[in-house]
Amino acid sequence: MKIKPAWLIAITLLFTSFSAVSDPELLKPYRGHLNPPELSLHDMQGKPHSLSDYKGNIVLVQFWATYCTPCRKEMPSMNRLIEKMGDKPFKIIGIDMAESPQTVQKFLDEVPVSFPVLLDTEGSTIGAWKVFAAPANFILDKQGNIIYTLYGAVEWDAEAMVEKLSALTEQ
Amino acid sequence: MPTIRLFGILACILSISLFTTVSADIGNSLILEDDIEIDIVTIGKPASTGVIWLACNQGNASVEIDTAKKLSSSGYQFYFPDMLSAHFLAPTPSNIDMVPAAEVIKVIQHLASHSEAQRIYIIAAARAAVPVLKALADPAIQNSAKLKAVLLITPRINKKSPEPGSEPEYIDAAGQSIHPVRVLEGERTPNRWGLPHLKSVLSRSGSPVQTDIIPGVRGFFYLRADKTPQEISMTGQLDQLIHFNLQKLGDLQP
Repeated sequence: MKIKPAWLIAITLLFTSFSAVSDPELLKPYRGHLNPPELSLHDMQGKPHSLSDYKGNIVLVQFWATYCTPCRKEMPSMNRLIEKMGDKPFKIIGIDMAESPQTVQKFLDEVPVSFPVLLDTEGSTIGAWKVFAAPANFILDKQGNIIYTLYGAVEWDAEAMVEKLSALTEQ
Repeated sequence: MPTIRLFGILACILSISLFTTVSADIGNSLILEDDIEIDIVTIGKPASTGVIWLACNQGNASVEIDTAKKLSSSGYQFYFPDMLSAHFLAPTPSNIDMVPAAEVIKVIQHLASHSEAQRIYIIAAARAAVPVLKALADPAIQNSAKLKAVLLITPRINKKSPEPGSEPEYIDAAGQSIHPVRVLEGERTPNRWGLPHLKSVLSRSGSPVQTDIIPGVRGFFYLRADKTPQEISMTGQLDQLIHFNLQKLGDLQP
């Protein structure tokens, strides 16, 4: 069977567009002025968390919400990313965007995660970090400064992304 | 089966004729200089308040039309200019910001000068806010005595994709209006956190701006195919929501 060139181009474009969602180049170097941002919130179990607890790690801080469909889709890939990063100094913090603990728990029962989910019930951290879309992702260096941002869902455990994040942990 | 189909068509025609008024002055279309014909659906009898509703899905705007029908007995006459069909654009929310502002300006001018209403309001939702704000930036519209204010429902006027850690960048026209603006945003959307910034941008040229949250719904809730029970309920109350907010707009003075 012969495949017409037009079809080949279409198939190539299709695969290119799908692979783009896991492209680590989507991480944008941060040029804003939020360094170091404030973060002092409680997780679902009531345990307090602050950024200083995570110093020495590359940290992915993700702002998300239960109504955000892309957030729901990409969360399993964040669990797999943690597995793939193994013992490397890398952590993920999820911050729910001002929903009730009951709403968040219901979601987490359906989509379990292997990282702490913090509650920003008043939205003060959302405002301080200037988050106006979800999922909104920040990559922090080992000193707690924002080095990259990314808006939208990606396959976090894609090979290229794991390589990029692994390289950051070695800096 | 054909009988049922024929009955359905007759019922639709009857329904439209019951609620749709084609004013001799307003007409049912506006032909611009370059032969672009913009269909205008008018709902309700001439009233003291005219509402131009720039639906971002005009041609498929059944919720908006139904809402206008409900409100037509409350002292409103609604005008739905179909800006998309004029350019052979599909009725999707992303297409509406491709409509030239100059055409929106002409439609507003036409309706303001031919409507019997003493005051005109504009409603725009989602991306339809883009051509409306561009039109409002024009001095000809700013000098319109009849145009009183604008209601933006979950407006999406970003210039580009949002960047975490930075304020949203809106279209340039966002800060060039002088008319009172009321913005409604869904509670279940991250855009609600941008309301203080949006308010400050919209008011740069003197517009009095108010913002409010619609509880329990996501952005452009009534346009969604996957409405939650709360969004279905709020869509059913859209007429009350609009009536209430148009009254609030009436209290805002430039």
